[in-house]
Amino acid sequence: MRPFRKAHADPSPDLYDGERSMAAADAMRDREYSPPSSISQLRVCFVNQLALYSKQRTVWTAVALVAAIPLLYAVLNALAPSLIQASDVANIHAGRILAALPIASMFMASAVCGSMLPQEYNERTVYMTLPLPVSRKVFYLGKFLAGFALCAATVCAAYGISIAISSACAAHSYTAQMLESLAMALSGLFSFCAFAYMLSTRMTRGSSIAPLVALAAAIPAACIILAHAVPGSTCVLGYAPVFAPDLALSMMGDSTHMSLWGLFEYPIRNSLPGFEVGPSATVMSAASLGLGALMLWAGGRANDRRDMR
Amino acid sequence: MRLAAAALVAVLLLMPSLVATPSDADSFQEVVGTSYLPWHRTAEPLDSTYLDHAQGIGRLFVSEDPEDPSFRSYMKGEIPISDLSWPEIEEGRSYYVFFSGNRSLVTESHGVVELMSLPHVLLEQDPPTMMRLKEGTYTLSAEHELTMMPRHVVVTNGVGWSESYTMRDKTLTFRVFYEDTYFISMDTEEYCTMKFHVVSGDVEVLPSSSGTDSCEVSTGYRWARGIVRVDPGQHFFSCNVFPEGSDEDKRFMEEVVKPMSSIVPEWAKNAGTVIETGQGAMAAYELIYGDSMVVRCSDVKTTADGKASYSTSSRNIVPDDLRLFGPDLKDRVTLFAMANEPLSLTMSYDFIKYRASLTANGSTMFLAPDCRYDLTFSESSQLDIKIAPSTVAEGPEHFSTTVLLSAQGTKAPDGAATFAAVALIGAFAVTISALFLAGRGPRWPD
Repeated sequence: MRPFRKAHADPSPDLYDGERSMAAADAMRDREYSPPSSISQLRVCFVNQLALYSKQRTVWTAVALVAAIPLLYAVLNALAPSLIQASDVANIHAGRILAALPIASMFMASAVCGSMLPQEYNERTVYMTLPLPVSRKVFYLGKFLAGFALCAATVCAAYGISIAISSACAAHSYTAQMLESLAMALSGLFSFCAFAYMLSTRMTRGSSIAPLVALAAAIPAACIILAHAVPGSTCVLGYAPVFAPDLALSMMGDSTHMSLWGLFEYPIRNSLPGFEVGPSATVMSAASLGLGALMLWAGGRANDRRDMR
Repeated sequence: MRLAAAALVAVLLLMPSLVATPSDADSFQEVVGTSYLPWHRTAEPLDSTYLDHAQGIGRLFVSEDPEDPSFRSYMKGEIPISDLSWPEIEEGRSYYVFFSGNRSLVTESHGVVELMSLPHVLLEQDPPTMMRLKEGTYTLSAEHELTMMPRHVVVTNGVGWSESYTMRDKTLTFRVFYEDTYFISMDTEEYCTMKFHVVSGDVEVLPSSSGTDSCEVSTGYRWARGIVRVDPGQHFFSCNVFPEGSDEDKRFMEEVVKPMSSIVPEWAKNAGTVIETGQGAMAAYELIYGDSMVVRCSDVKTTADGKASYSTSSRNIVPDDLRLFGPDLKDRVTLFAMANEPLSLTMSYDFIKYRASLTANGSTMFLAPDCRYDLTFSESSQLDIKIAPSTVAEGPEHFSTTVLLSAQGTKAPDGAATFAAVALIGAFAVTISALFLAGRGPRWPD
């Protein structure tokens, strides 16, 4: 009887009677098995979420929003030319075309990121994913990055189409300022996506309406009222990320845009004075990215603690 | 570290965004009167009978001395016009007539009188004072009693509102009803020093300083030349008119029109010319703003006694073969002001000839010459700076072809918007493509 040998012990060449006919690599010998790296996990989760989007209506919503810009512009230009007044400066004209950016970016963020995680839990697909060698944090982050990438690409396309239309009509263009405005809009979008995603971790059923209402109405109204009640607080509240699209469009030169502050600025100034949107683009970007990261972290903690049931 | 940060925030919050200087209720600003019209003098003395018909042609002064020293002193601003006195008019004696207002002198008794343009005809004055006045009451006081036409003090904001006042007993009180930028000037031919006092209200005198990186904004003035076809006879033209192809025509072209192309006018204007038209075509030159030209022509008939009579009717002639000379000048500049970024503008131009205005976000403000405007806009704005003539330019010595604009804090257009648009739309296309490609693969790799 041959002595018992441990399974992982290196086989000695004289253990077997015959010669080895396969190389170690082909015979899967001497291999170490470990979970994939975090980057690899992140990439897989990111790509899988993108694949899921290809089978959902979300991507067609994004494409429809982008395609609507030139169509709406052509219709409004034909029916009511005074609504989108031409300008000699392409930035200002593009800002007017992007008047719906605030509400559209909030809507995209809510629709894309507000139901990703709850959908996974409700359809029980998460129970097939999490037992695999992938950490919850990476799973959480990978899905968020996919959602943010889709929303960011939509905002970039909106800017690109607006710039293309306005450049054909205007004589002067200031591209650096356009890109600064885009960066501001993307930083605000990051915070919107993080907020909607964080909110979804605390909901059993995902919702696109709740984060949209919060971003478009509740939070801006709270900031305005608080700034009116507490003098001097506007220097802080004015940098709430919900006002990042307002600042982005102000940088382009548009004064009337579809947000609570953009539509009701003058009545608010008359009835609730004391609030001003923060003027510094750097501070607004930093606030948006910082608060977005904070909300992501908070959502990640909630997801980590969620029971698998 | 915290104290330093708090101090920095305090300084930033206290920094004013617009030009402002501490107001001083007792401060006064010297306001200098200006003269806009040139003076002429008859080349030959006229007899006393002429003077009976010399009413209503502007300001008038007579003297037996063609180089009257007191009148010269007045033109230099050394004495006020009230110090001038006419000599006693005696019948049969002749006098030189000094006058302003009209550029011609045509009478029934003497016909067309040859004129001489006097040197130093325009009293060089400082531009009218530009001040930001708040609601309140202000007074002006003059050093001399002004014996000029009524409503000779003009207060205007330069963009549509203007009020004229008459100074009585060397003082004038006026009221400002809303805060704006105003300038005060005298609409007369007299030289006078006025002082400005604040009774109530607040005044901020805009500082003057020159900026850097100036760019030239030119006016739309150019010389127009056309061929005027008139019937034979004597005609009185209101612009430079010479027989076509004549030495005067060629000389004018060489000495006046061509130098205009390099914005160096070195010419003389010969207005009020009477031309005997043996030919049917005259070359007419006129300094114009825009691209149209009308030659005003009046007929002069000679009466039986040999004296000229002036026809009261005049007609406008649109010349043939109209050509414009001079560079293609702009009268508008478009700038882009970024949101919450300070911007400084300074204009330098001849205030008597032009007005510069700034239009932004639907509102217009006047830009005084040699004053710096520090502006900050809450949103990115298009700034339209326009130059418009305040009076029709008359003569080379009153003409300035260059308006300088200095702007700090603006960006130059880069014209790369097309590339940016393509890149951004391409990013969206790549993302969507990656999305659909991912959807075609297996969910999890092996």
